[in-house]
Amino acid sequence: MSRRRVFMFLRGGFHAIDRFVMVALSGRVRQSYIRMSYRLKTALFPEYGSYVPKHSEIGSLSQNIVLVPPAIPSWALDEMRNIAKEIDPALYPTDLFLAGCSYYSFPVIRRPGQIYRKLIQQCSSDYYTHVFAIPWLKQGGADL
Amino acid sequence: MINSKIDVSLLITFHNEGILAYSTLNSIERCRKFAEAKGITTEYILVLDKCSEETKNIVLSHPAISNNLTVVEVDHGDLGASRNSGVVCATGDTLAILDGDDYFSENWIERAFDCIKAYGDKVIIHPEMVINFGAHAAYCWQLDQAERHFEKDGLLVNNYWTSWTFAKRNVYLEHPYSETRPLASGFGYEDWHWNCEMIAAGFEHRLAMGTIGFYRRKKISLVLATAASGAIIPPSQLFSRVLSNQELA
Repeated sequence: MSRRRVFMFLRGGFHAIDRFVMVALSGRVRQSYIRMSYRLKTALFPEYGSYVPKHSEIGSLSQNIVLVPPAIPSWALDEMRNIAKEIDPALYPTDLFLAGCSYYSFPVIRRPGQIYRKLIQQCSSDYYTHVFAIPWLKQGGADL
Repeated sequence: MINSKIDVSLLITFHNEGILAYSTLNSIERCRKFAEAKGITTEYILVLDKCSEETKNIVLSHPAISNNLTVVEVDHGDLGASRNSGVVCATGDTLAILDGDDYFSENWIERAFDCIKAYGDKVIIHPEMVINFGAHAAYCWQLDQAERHFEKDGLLVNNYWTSWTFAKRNVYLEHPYSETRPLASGFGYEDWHWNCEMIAAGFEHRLAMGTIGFYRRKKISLVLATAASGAIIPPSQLFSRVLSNQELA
């Protein structure tokens, strides 16, 4: 059985225990269980990252906020090995490299852009000499 | 007469990469050979912008440097302007923007070229994955504009793509990069700005699946210096009044 299959199997077991056993225990016990599981995962499978959620990040089961970051796919690891052999050993995906290699995603935060579009719609000219930004000004009250 | 039609121009900018430029050229040469084995013809466009003598010697003595090569020496001190100078000298039907200290998966050029054929001319192609190495190791997937969770309004506060792009050469000619000079102008992030401008012009950013860009993280870099200076991207048509009004009409 490949490492990935073993990992996926254990991960399924982790979720099953979390869902069916931990639900009957206190939140503190569940937090300890999740943190211990993540530490165990880091020790046994460093290629899947070293992230351990903080106590405050582990809520109730219904919140389901614990993130399991996606692993680097095998085709990418193969390419890293090839580049390491042919060009630069720094890219070899050693356990040490993978343990320190964290997952991130490009944040998609649309609200500021939407607000900006609404604001720019209110403008009657493309060119201004002066712009005053007064974010604390509110409609109504004694200040108007 | 031999048919000298070039499919892809490989445009690489160099500044002070030193010996790192040698490994990068090895990586790009690996991509080039892979693409040529699939029948894709290529040329090198090397832009040396205020390039140190050491870097210049390393680049020009690299064994990959062959007859199919144009060296463009400029004194811009600006990445956007350097790329524009290289684009003008390129002759390929398509063009890849590459940086002088990064690496790429072997299939990057070949798959990107195929993507242009598959998706049409109005697209910009990016590698599917980015793996950071060097001073900081991390990995991510880039965003495909055709994906459900893509939001172009998010580009006001974050860039979604690295500067490695692949498109028809005419695209770069008709939509040159802005010159930013962050320390002097307060504007920076020429690649982020260009990405926005291309969407405003009706282009779509798509991914070449199964490809990777390896981004060398340094303790001191242009991106970090730009961020530290508090620079912002230049005004973009993507957030212009005219385009916003058109969309909301």
